[in-house]
Amino acid sequence: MWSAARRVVGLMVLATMLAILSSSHAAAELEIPTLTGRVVDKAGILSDATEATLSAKIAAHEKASSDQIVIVTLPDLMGRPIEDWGLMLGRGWGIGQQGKDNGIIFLVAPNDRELRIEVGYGLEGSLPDATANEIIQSDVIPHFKQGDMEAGVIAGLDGILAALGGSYQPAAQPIVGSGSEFSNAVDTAVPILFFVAFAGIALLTSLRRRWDKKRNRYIWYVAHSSGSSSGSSSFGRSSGGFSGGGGSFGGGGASGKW
Amino acid sequence: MRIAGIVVLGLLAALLVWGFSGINAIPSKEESAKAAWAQVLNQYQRRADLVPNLVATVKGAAEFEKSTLEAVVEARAKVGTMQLPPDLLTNPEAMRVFEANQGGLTSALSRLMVVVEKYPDLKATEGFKTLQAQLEGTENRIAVARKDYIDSVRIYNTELKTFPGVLWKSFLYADREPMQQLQVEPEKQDVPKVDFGASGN
Repeated sequence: MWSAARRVVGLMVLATMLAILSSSHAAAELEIPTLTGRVVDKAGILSDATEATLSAKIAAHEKASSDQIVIVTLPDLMGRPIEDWGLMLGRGWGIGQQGKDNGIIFLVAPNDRELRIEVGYGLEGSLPDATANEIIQSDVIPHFKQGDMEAGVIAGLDGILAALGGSYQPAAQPIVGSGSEFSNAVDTAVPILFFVAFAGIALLTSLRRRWDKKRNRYIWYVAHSSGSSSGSSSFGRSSGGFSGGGGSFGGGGASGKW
Repeated sequence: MRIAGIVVLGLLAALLVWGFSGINAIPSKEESAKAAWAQVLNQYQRRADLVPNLVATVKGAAEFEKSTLEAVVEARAKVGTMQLPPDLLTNPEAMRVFEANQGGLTSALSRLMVVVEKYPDLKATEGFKTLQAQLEGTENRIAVARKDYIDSVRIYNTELKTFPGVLWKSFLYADREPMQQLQVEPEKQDVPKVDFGASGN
């Protein structure tokens, strides 16, 4: 009798385990480095002092705006496009605040001689692809070409922060006139984008409320979480001080090579 | 034997609870796949909106290769006039047409970007550099949106075919069909050849 009961209990445990297994599809992907802070210098191109300065700058900006920026250097892209890494790191760590998606990954792969600025959904307005490209081409790459990695990363972060503050000016501008013209366009575009974003959010919220009443589903919420749903919580989030706020990314930004 | 009976009953109850908890799985996974598809359409629209500006900028360059530009305009028009049937996601033929048209614009645009290499003056202009960055960013967004759609369709189709979803499908959601899967970035497999000698096509 007892053996029969034990066998049944064993079956039950097995069934439970199967249920758990079938509900969580194990994601065997590339290993994502641990989010050890706002600067994750895996490639070891930054001195401790520079790292501290960069972290402090980012922290100050985050305090003022809630935007999250993470600087990552990788020794090896493992043959994957840098765009894949930007997306994986951004979504895996959940950089940016949930719902605002205001995260940025500034990714440098010194040995592959590639870099990328990955921009979260919520910051695509203040840091459009063209501006990210401008920062890469005219602020960062000139330093990298001279072999000064630290100066390039610092200039890149300054460019990103300036763009988020709405006051970005490309560093080395060969044609004098077009620089101010460009920033004028940015100056007028930013308030308009803010207004459009605000109106869009208001509309979406009211739509969502109506949907929720009709039937208990979250239609547009899913679009934001669909990418990070496959195991974001399992990635190495840091325990010490800094962690992602749950923001998501949609592939915005720009890449460059030198 | 009584204990064994109770345990078996408990097991059955657990199975039932587990099965019932999935009653909403099919519609909610269907909605997330549809939302992912909306994002795909959104990003393709973003690209289509860039094209007129790009064509206007390139046209300004002296004697820019006409056939390349015409191919872009034609592919853009095809995408713009395409009718999307309501059952697009479950209709293989409609999906094939959609993919063929969008793929046509993808290759016409990458061809254009290759040809632009022959016009350094055009490449250096501020307007073109901006458009190029926007186009690259949009192509990347399209790739991400497609990947998200592929993932959520895989989850939805699996739910339709596996237990307990397959039971719910037969009881409540008999009209639900598996959604069409996308090819994984076919445009990335055939990288356009750079051939400066033959300017005919």
